[in-house]
Amino acid sequence: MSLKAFQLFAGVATALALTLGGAQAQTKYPKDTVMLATHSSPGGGSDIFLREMVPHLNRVMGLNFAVENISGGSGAKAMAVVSKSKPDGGLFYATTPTFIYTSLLSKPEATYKDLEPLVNVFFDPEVVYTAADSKFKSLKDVIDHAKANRGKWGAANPASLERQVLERMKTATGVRAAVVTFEGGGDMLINVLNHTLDIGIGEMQEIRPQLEAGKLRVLAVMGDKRLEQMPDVPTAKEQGVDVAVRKFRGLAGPKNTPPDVVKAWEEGIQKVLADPAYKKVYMENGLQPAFIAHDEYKKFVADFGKETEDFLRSTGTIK
Amino acid sequence: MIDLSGMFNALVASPMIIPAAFAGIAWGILGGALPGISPSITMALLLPFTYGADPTAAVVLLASTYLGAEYGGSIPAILIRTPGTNSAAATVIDGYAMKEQGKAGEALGISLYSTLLGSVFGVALLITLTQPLAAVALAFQPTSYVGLGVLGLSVIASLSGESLIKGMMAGLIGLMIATIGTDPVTGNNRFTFDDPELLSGIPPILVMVGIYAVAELFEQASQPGWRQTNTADAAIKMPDALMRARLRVSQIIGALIGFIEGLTPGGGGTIAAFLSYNEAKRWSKKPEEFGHGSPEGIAAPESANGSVSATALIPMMGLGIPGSNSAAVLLGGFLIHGMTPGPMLFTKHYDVVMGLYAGKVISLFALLVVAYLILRPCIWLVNRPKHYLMAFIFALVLSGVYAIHNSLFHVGIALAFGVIGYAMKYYRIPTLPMVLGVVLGFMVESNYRRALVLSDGDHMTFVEDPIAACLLIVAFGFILVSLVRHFRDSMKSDQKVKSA
Amino acid sequence: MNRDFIAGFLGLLLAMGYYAMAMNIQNSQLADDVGPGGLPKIYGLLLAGFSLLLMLRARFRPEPVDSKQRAVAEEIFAAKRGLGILLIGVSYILAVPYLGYPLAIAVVIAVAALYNGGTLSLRMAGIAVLGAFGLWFVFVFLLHIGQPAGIWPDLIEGLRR
Repeated sequence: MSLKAFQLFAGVATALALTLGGAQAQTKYPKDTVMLATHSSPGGGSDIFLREMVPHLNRVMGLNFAVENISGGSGAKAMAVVSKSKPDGGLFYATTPTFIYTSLLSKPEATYKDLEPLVNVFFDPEVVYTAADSKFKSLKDVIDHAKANRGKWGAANPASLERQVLERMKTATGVRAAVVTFEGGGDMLINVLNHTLDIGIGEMQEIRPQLEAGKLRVLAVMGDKRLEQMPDVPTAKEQGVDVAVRKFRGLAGPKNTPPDVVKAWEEGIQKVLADPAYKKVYMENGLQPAFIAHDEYKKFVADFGKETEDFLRSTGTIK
Repeated sequence: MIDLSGMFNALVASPMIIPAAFAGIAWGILGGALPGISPSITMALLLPFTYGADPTAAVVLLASTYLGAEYGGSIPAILIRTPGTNSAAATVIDGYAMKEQGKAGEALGISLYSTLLGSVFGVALLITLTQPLAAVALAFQPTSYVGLGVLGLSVIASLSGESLIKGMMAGLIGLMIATIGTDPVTGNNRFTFDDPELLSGIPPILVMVGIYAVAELFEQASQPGWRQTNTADAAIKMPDALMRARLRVSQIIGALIGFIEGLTPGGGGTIAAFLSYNEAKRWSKKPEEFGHGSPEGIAAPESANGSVSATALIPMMGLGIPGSNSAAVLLGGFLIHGMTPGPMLFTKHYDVVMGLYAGKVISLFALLVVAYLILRPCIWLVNRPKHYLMAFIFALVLSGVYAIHNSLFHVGIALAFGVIGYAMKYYRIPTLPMVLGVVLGFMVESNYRRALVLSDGDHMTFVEDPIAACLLIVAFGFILVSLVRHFRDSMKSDQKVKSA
Repeated sequence: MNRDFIAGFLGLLLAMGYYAMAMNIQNSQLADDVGPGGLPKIYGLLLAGFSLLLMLRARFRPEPVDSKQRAVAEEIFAAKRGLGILLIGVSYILAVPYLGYPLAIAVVIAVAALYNGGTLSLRMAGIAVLGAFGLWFVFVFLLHIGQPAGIWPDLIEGLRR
């Protein structure tokens, strides 16, 4: 959808919402309609994240939010559009580690360095899992097996955060393991379920149906602390594997976003994360609320970028 | 296992299913018929509008759109040599040949009839056996996909007509095109010239629209008397009893291959369409007609498309694993309404599942009705004066190809493939092997390497997987038979040349 | 020198270029035994082999007679006519970011129709405008495809100020 057509559409929607839902108290936000862009196609991870947040955000911040999918070049196009937009609080981009990987792996028109991280919203915990009827009961079993034989570990995509975690796990434990990559989570999941792979790594949301049906067992959380949703599952660190990552889900805008916009978002995100109705939704999806304020988030993303760049450089994936 | 009363109750509970099925089919045909607008994009465009809708009607709307789009792709494939979707490219070959022979109405009838039969088969399996069949998807390992891909490529040996060498060249060029983009194992960029637009590779639809539609526009620019469809044949004509009997084998082949591809993630409709075209040719009583307007050449891929549009829902609903982009969008449709497809869907949201089944049945009728209404104006459109028709095809291609990623670069690639297609015709190099290479190349390479990573470099892994072993044996058997036949024929023709 | 020979030669050139690029694919420590360049190199070699075979066969076997084959003059004429269509397409790609989708596509319809033997008339202009509107309606309005808007939005905004 073109921006112009969209704004028209969104304008009509706002008018409708205002007449139907009763006007909210207006804040000093410079825009009535805020577009949230994602590179993922409708139904994809970031798309669902945004679309589920939008109705609650509308309510909490009293603005009209709309989602736009700018697909193409694994985020390259979305980054170019957002970095060139006016810094008036009207357009933000849903960030995930993907935008850093794309920036580093290809030479896009605009990279993550051309954007200004706004705030972080969630961490999407990465978990290591195996088939429910497999012999592995803990991460230690997996590592022991890989020491004695040869491990078969799966990650959804070739150059991704998940791959990086497994490679780091391999280095940290010094075992022999084949790290197999796929074209997406579903493909890999099948190979975990049919025992082609010992373990797979992925986000909670991807494996929820299998988990609910008791077909999978989660062995470890690859984060700093255990998950509220699964308090029994230990972290990798607790099991002696010193690897932890934080897959972030936040927002970024063009450079020089005005301070009052930043302030409105910092307040808005904290409020929406505390909102009970929204909390129910995101807890079910296995997301960890992880608000990071603007100034810290800039540093967080820069550090994440640096770390990823080092990894890709040291493995020879990029020059 | 059929719960007819459950389906009926779901229908009574949300009667919106019926208009949703019709609307989905109509919207799907529109999106599918436009080159570049894939079934998944067509469905995704509806997603935002399903937020407020009744969950059952929402998933029915999306599932019907899938069927409509898979069917819709065949209309421009037959009428203007422009595949509307990837999976319709196999239909172009014989569909357009029939149109050129003045049999457009008949070709459209065969395509509609075959899509319907394929989807009846698929829907029947979906309704009765979703849960047990979902387990079949688990039998497929990376090795099995290699077998499937090699079987598909093995057809190049028999397809290439007059010159096996040229066919192999075209197939290799197709495989080369498929290597453009991110490496499936390491994530390195290959042949991308550091252009982010090439990172995800060249979408197959660009190749197909280029070498079929654009090349034909180049060609027709020097043909003043473009053959027009016979006005006597200006209506859709359903196949008669004789034709139905002839189509039976190819339709069964299409429906079965569509079923297997629907079940296995990563397969998808395009591969099903081409595999079933190939197999239909192998098992046909008149294989020589393929490529020159064989009705079976339309029936096989179209029944595969119909079958896939239903069976792709089996792993999506039964396992929560989408087998194709379109199924992924449908999965999104479930998620939006707070339902998670997977083994628990059937216990937690039984009514929605039943509603979806009912909707799938209704969408079959909807397809018949909407297609009948829509085909007459379509045929009228292609009977306009030639210069206007060509101008509009060109405008349609330029608009549609852009839509894939909102990229003018893609429009340029499609034009470039038009030039390549034109040159291939001049040098008498067959185009179909190239399309096969493009469609199958990535699947074969990524799974071949993945399988070797798993086996630590041991090629025996392909023999140890029974599915892969069977498929590979069949493939090599076919290659051997084709080679023997080829050399026998070329010896004969050499003798002819000498005696002449 | 027949067509098959030239086709083989072109194939050989393509194979060599592709192979050279495959050699330059950077290797990664994450690579498998086959590696990112593994299959591309094999494809390149095979294509080179088949291209050579084709050239060889063309040297020793007369070109098969094709009843549909066109004379050289006809062939050149056809290629020139085809080139015109290509030029229209390339011009569209270059112009559409400035002209905007609706105007550019209307011009394409009119020019392509003229090129293919139509005559310039009010009727043709009407068809081009209506056709462009129809395509805009389907792609931009219904399907929400962000076709290029051209310089118009900026121009209008500039005038307003």
